[in-house]
Amino acid sequence: MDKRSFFQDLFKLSQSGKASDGLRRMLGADTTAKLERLVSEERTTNPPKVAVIGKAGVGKTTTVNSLFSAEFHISHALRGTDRAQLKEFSLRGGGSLHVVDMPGLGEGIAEDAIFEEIYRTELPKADVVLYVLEADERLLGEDQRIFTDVIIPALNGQTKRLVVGLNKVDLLGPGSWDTVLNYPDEKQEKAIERRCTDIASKLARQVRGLRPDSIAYYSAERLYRLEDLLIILIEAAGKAAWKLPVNPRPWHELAAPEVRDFVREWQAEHEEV
Amino acid sequence: MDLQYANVAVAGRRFEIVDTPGFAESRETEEKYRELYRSLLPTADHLVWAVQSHPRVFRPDQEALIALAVGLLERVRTTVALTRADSIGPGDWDRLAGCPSSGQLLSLNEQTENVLGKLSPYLPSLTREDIVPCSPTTGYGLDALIDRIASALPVASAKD
Repeated sequence: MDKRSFFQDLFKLSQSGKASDGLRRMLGADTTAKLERLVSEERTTNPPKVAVIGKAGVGKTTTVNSLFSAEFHISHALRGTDRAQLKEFSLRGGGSLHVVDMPGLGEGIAEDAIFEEIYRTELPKADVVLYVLEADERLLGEDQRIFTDVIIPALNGQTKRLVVGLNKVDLLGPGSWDTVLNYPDEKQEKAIERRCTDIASKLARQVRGLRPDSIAYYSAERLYRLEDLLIILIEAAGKAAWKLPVNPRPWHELAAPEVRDFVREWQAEHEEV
Repeated sequence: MDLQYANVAVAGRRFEIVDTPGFAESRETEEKYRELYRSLLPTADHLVWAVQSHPRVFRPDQEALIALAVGLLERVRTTVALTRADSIGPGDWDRLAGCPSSGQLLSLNEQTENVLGKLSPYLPSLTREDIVPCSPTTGYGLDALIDRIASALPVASAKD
């Protein structure tokens, strides 16, 4: 067994809890059984935990749904989640993924007092924290406050587990969304780039080390760049990274039929065996 | 910092409108802006506080109201304009009639109550009638807004 397929099989084992025949031959039956048991036990007793946070109305629940192919109820436009909702996903290899969908902050001083308490309890327990921003929103004063007053203290100053995501980039102007390709047009791509630079500079004081290219921009609604977002989440998840699922809904699902079919054919031809 | 001035005449009344850069852009700009509004407010006959129709985030407005409340806001009548009424959910603006769909009317009513609940603790004089949904890009609700501004002008300024 060469190195490459050894790692591929190890990866499959970590995802599914099942070892390949090749791996079994190489490691022997006892070691393989032990490994399988360890993976399953760890997945069951210690599921990875992702907390999704941000201001009210930025699309936290939509993000959770698209990222993990779930169908949770989307809050009415005017009223959102009012408590931390623990969502459990069953993973293929047994065990589960925990996602905490948090109430949005900033609705009001009185509401925040309660919600911020929830943040203080939940954030330290999360393996990775996704802070969702909305692309078409220029006001960052409230986000700065949330970072300074709530998030950074709750994470004890450790921003390694924190990912800043920029949602709804399909609504950002100038430029517009190309519905045939299900992709931003060139102008919109430039606008997204500028937005990331602006956000990184405005939040630099709150989130140390935040760079324009560390902002995970995406559109949950359009399934755009979910894979990139997931990779950034996995990188930030540290020791829990291997337990995160890797299959978000693909973007070409929403492209025009001819584009979608083209991508599928191309992938079928180029897929590694 | 850009205040923009415009002189307008509506229904025989002339008045000056001052457009401001707003609130909550960033922590760095906030105090300067508030300082500006503190000096501006005592000279105003009417205050139009604009919030978008659909957002759920009101804390920055509340904090700004607290910062400006000291002796300033009770002296000037306020209209809260709910802008972008055309984009509120379910988003099916009636283009032909140029007004909100029945679903949007429900949302606007709900949001009016919501805004009243969020802002009135910090602006006790605020009533439901002070909240006016409008959509500047389509013209919807602007007459109601102008009526309120005009009725707030002191009689003395009608001289010219």
